[in-house]
Amino acid sequence: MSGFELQIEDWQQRRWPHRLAVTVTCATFPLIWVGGLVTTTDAGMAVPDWPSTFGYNLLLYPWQTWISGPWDVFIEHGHRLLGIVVGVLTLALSAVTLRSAVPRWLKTSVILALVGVIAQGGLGGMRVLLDQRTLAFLHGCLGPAFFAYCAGLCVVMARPGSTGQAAPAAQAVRKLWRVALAAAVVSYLQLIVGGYLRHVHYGTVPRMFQIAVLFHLLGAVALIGYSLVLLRVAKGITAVRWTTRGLCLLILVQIGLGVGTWFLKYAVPLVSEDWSWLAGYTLQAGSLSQAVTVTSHVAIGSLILATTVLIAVRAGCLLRSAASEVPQLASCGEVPV
Amino acid sequence: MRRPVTEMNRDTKHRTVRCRGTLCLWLWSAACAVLVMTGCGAEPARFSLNLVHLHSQDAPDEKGQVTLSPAARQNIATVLDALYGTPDAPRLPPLPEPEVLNFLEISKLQRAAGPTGRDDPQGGERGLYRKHCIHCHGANGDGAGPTAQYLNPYPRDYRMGLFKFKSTEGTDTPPTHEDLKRVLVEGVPGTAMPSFKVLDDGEIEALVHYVKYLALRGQTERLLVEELAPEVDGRYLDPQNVVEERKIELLETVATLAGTWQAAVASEVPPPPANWEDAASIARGRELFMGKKALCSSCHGDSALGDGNRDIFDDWTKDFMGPTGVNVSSYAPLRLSTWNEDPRKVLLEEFYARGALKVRPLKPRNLRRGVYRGGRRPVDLFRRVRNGILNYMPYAEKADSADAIKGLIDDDVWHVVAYVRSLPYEKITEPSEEIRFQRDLP
Ligand code: HEC
Ligand code: HEC
Repeated sequence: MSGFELQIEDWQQRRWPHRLAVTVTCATFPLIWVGGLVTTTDAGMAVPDWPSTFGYNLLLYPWQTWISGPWDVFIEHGHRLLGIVVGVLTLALSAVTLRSAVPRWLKTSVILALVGVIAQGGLGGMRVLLDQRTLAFLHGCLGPAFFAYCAGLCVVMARPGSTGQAAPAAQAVRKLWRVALAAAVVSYLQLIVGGYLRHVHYGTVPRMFQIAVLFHLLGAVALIGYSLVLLRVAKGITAVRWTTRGLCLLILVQIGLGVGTWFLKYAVPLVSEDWSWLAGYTLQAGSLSQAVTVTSHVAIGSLILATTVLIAVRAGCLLRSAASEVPQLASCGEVPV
Repeated sequence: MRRPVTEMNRDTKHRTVRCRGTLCLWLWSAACAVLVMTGCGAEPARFSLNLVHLHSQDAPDEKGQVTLSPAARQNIATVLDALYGTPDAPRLPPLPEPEVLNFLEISKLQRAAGPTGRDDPQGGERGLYRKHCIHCHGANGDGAGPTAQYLNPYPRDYRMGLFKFKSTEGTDTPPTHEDLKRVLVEGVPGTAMPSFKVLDDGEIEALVHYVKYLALRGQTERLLVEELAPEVDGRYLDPQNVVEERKIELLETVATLAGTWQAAVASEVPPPPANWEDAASIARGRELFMGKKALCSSCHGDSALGDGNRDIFDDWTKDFMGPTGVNVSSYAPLRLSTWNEDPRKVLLEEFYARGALKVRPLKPRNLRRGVYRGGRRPVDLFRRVRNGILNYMPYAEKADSADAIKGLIDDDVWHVVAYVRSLPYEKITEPSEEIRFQRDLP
């Protein structure tokens, strides 16, 4: 057995790996929220040691102290605990997949996920031990990549569904694949640039900040363009139609959140008192609305990346199954992720 | 079978378009990678010199001599480090009479300085300045952090020791501890300066101390450059071969500066007159506002919409805009309208290249909004009118009697305040007759 052509009978073998992959993906999303909150509240160094927490074994840190302690410690320690959960789940996923009779490439892909999660944990630890913002930034970049990767895994493991439809035109699928891939690349770059904007630190040069702002805006425009193209292309492809609509919605929300993030942190740019309703408004540092908006912007960014990857992988599957001439058994089923 | 030529053309065209798209994508990725790379590297923890101010002193004098050599600059940096420490490890100048530094507490400075973090779960957070302020106000308090370029007004540059919303008399007088604390807790409405209500009192205290520390440090740096260094090319400041009397001179200068902070007290505010804020009081206030004595309307406009004189530049640009800036001293203050094709623009570019933010003229406040950045209590407004705002909004001189040609008596200042407070409710078309709101005394 080779390639992506997974047949119905394989599904029995893939059932548990698939369930676990979905679980890992679902558990990673909250982890990304909390991770975003760590940066938002600048809690990265709230706990000065690693892998221990204030000298305690990470798992044995008294929960009463954790719950009732300062907010930044609460967030940082919670982030570590949740990270452990995802790590253990990924371990389970690998163990189960390795024991199932699934194709070799699938096993390798799952091992790669395991490597990813370990690297991510290590990066997080080094960030604390070395107190390096650059590592924090890399840690923040790898997280969404892992999330999107897991989303992709879910798709390739999914139960093959009979679309009950004529196979979509190969040309449309190819275009879908190309555009979705480009959108995935751009949305990942957006995450990176956004991370740079968020990790403003001691040595940030104003000029670079300015360039990053420009890139971030350009990237947003590009993503709007891509999502519109995807919307048109996906019209005739049932397998991704709703996902694409969801993507468009997410991008819309994301732009609102981005604008909100800026306004709540830096005020409306270059506006003076000529706007009466803003003239008397005082920004509130560290307010709930600020934290929620910024962190949602980060998390939705990851969700957009995962969605574009999902569409791309699905398109890839469709292409393969079209090539293997069993279009009825499109290996990417309708399993929602 | 050969394909028709036209189709082939279309095909290649298609491909080139796609290639170009891919190329763009790659270029974009490469640019992002560069961005990331520059973000890497160790975080430097040194204060940088005030290059804009240095450049204003750099200009060749009549004899064509540039006053500050690179060695002198290095000396200034060394001396400043010796006096004030680094962003990670602040220290206080070793003055002969340390009492004048009572307004700074080293433990609070240490809490505000350094990288952000926490040593134990119950202890307080440290590195507060980097966590909360640095992206706007900059590491050395130059008000030119990475985000500053997008904000209007710009974040405060502490290094001249000048602050807008203070209760002390005199333009160059430092603010009181409470003034700074008020700004931090309340924020400045209508600007990017947020309210830090979420922080506890200990954290606010630490930050206020750190602001004062950065201000004193910046003022010392200016003095070193302007008064002490040029004489002897900075060499005497070299810690390797300290000249004892020079050192004493230096410390005395710092002590004088520190003394102004130590002595800062809020100005007295007399009680308002008995009829304050009744119709007559507001009418009197209006008369003064429009009149020649207070001159408020010359800037704020006859309708108080802030549409009067617009060629005002604030005190933080004086190194290159005002009469004190060596480079442009022979020019009238720059006007935005005459910028184009102006040789002075070239001079400005030199300052921009050294980190100065783009000059923007200051807009007199639209007083009909009822938004007061320096506080909305009547005493705040009284002090604002009586003491002015730095050099750009003139203070109302104290007069002996209401009939004096110049200046205002306390009661008249109160009447002006009454008028200002009535402005948001006054009709623009038929003012003064139509005062619809009588308000209570404070
Ligand atoms: C989002 C950007 C931003 C942040 C963050 C910020 N400030 Fe400001 N700050 C400003 C701006 C803009 C002004 C100028 C307001 C004006 O001129 O009306 C200002 C003004 C000030 C002033 C001068 C007020 C006066 O009377 O002249 C002080 C003091 C100050 N900030 C302290 C702080 C401290 C301390 C922190 C961190 C706890 C901080 N700021 C964080 C933007 C910011
Ligand atoms: C030379 C021009 C000028 C004159 C004369 C002048 N102002 Fe102003 N005024 C300004 C400017 C500019 C500001 C905006 C300050 C800022 O935001 O930095 C201002 C701000 C104010 C504010 C708002 C302060 C706050 O807390 O936000 C009040 C109130 C005010 N002026 C009242 C007056 C009164 C009353 C007079 C007459 C006694 C007067 N001004 C004369 C230029 C002037």
